[in-house]
Order: sequence, then C-alpha cells, then structure tokens
Amino acid sequence: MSWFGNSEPEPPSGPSPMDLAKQEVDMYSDLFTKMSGLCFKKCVVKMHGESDLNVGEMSCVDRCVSKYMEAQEKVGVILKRAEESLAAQQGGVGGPAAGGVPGVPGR
Amino acid sequence: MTPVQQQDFLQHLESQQRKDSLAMYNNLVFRCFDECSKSFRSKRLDDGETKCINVCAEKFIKLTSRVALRFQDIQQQKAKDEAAGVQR
Repeated sequence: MSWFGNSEPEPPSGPSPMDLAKQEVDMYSDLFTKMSGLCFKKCVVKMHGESDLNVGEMSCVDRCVSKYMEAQEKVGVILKRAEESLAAQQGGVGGPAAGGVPGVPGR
Repeated sequence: MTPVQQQDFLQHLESQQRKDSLAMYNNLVFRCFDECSKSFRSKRLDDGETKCINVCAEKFIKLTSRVALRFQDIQQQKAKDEAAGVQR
C-alpha cells in the first residue's frame, strides 16, 4: 500500500514517522469503513432474491469507490488550502499539523 | 525501519484489523436490522425478515470485498503515479 512510500522525511521535532504511519493506517481504515457503508447504502436497493451482487450493483460499487476517492482528494485539497490560509493569517505561528492531510499529493 | 519499529507497526496494524472486524460486525447488524425489520408484532424475526437479513449480510460482505479490491486498485495506481512523478 502507498502509505509506506509517501511519508516524507520529518524534521527531528514533531510526531515521529512511526506515529504518522499509524495515524495513516487508522485514517485509511476509517475511510474504508465509511466508504463500504455508504456504497452499500447507495448501491444495494432490494434485499430479496439473490444474495449475490447483481451486475448493476457491481458497476455501481465500482463507480461509488472511484467517486468517493475522488471526493476525498477534492476535499483534501480544499482543507489543505484552508489550513494554509489560516497558517498565513496567524503569521506562521504554530502552522498546520505536521503531515497535513494524508492521501493528498503536495503541490 | 528497525525490526523493533516494524514489530510495533505490525502490532498496530493487527490491532486495527481486529477493531475493524468487530466494528464491521456491529455495522452489519445495524444496517441489516434497520433495512429488514418491518413489524414488531412478534419477538422473533419472521420468515421474510430472516430471508432479508441473510441476503443483506451476504451482500454486504461481498460488497465490502469488492470495495477493498477497487480501493486497492486506486491506491496502487496512485503509488505508481507518484513513483513516476518522482522519477521525472
């Protein structure tokens, strides 16, 4: 998985890379739980008949996951921007938490 | 990562996975009960409700594994894109 790859070297102070990695694991597992729950709610409508997913449900799930991840990225960008402007307003004191928003590629 | 850190990380991963599967159980009961329970004239699930619970639970499990598959695809693609970006 990608969280091994994208952790940048940290300055000596602040949370350790290990803490960041653990936080990222937790964050992805939460994301996964939420995404599965939502895509189930949105894609599976009737509970009678077959217990297999039908073709419509399968393609719905595929799109649902892809869209959810896209939304995650978009929201991440907005959140990052907001954090940055907040940090700029505060004159860089404190600044955003190290690591920022996980899963968002830096610009 | 040192072996000790690796061990620490794996332990965290495992405990998270345990938490996830417990949460998934509760989540599944919550969703399927919400979806399937229709009347409260009896203290037992009736035939229709039982069938519904069965289908609901099986579908949820299948759907979750499909979500995992697609999620993995997307993460792998992202990692690949990032690696390509670094090389450039």
